[in-house]
Amino acid sequence: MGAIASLDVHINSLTGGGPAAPQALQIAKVNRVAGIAPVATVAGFLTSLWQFADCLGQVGSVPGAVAAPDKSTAGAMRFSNPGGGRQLWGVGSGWLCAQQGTLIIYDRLLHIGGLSGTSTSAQTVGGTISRNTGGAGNIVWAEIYTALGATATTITVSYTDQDGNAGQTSSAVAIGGTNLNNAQRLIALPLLSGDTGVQAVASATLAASTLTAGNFGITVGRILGTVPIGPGGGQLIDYITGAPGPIDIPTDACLAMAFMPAGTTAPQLVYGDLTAFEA
Amino acid sequence: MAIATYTALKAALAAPRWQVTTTKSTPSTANSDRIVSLWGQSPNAGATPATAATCTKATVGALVNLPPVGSGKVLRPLRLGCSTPGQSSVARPSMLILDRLSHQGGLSGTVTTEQTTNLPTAALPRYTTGAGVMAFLEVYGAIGSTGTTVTINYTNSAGTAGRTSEARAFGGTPRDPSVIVPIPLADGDLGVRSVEGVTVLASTATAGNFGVVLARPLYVIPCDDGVRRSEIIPALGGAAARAAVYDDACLWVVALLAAAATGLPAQSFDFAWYEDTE
Repeated sequence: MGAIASLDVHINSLTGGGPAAPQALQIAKVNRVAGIAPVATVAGFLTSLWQFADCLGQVGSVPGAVAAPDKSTAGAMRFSNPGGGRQLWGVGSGWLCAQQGTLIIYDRLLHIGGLSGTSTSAQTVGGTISRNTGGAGNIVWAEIYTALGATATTITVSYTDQDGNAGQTSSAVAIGGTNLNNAQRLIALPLLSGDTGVQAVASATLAASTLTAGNFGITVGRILGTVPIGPGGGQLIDYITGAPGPIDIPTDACLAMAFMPAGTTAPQLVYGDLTAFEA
Repeated sequence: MAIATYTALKAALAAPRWQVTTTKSTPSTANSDRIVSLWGQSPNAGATPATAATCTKATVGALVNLPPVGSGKVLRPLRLGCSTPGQSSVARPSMLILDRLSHQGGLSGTVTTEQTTNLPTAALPRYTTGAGVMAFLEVYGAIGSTGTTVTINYTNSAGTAGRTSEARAFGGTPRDPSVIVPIPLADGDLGVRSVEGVTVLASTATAGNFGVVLARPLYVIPCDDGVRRSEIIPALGGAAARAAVYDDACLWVVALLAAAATGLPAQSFDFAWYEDTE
């Protein structure tokens, strides 16, 4: 993995003197899903922007069978893989977002759809992650594509942890019912104490029926960075001098976004410009 | 040419190829959480377009008159700054700076068949394939309070005509002059080369006047505090580092307002650029 050896190397690379031209990864999401307004966001509940329409055409679709998305998957932010054995580093970004909250940039490693909100048996997930295969830092979400029922229940997943231990069962969390049955909702699934990530997810199980089948899935992702958005609606992130440091953008990453809103209006516009260079 | 070292960057900042400070006022009627165009704002207020036309630095409305650079050269940002002195904590705008490439007007908020008045848009003068070019609808004369949706018929950056955008909310709350509606593209498209038609699904109840703008986004400048000025050194902080500006670019400001406000004071912009190869 390449390192950014000095501030001079950083400046030189950003101004075009590096081994490859720097890149500007752009995204321009608007508040439409499949041609209609999305479900209202809820303060404190995570919203997936995967299916949100994009003024630069980067729109994800509802997954069917389990798959490991990559940079060629519809919905991924576009970029070019680094060459020459180098690493692609995200070093700064600028953002506009018409709603206060926190934007989350993540590598979407695996997804599946078509799971039912009425089935109480173990619903198969499976598949194989192709990046960050060791699992540390990989997060599991339940992602809702079509609304589930109004009856609240809980969900667990059976997973293989970062040490390769299969058959681990996540802590049960709420799904279905108010605020947790909406389309575009992401529900984080907490791992067992001591686990730091997942290598694979075998299945998902609802404790009871939500009374509406809907459509939900399991998404595995690795968070790369966050962007706080305040009242002004804009933010600049310097990843060199600020947390979490330069973003390691994996080769073939499926860069996607989620949003933790502070209000009930889906953001009219989320525009972002992430600058990256190779080292 | 790259700036190779921190020492060279400091020298370039001390003596930039070109720098300017300018201002733009914001619209007197602004809607909460709405994106507004500063095109028609003073100083150098842009006119309401009619027939399809390209935009250059000489177009009245451009934020600044850029200096000429050599053949095959562009301007890259050394420093970008924005401040909104005296702004309240409620209404602190953030800015998106774009290169306004092509525009037209004269579309109606009451016509529900495909509108081709003053269309197709003029051929892009820069970024000619359309890759990375976004399409917007800009309201010049207020449309109606009946909410509906709008789509555009466009040619994408691959040259494929007859593409239909996703529908976008139109009329209703977003109806005032200066309101900007970004248009989402069909899945997989990388940008817009031209727009051939606009279709409003249902009448907004007032014809008004709106039009298509094609523009390439360049920089985000948050102005998040009425007291503190926002400043970016792209070669250090990374954001916008590679945004190249052609010397005939028509710089255009779109503001994201945090809350409803009227009579907002001017935004002050401070740009410094260096010359680089394209």
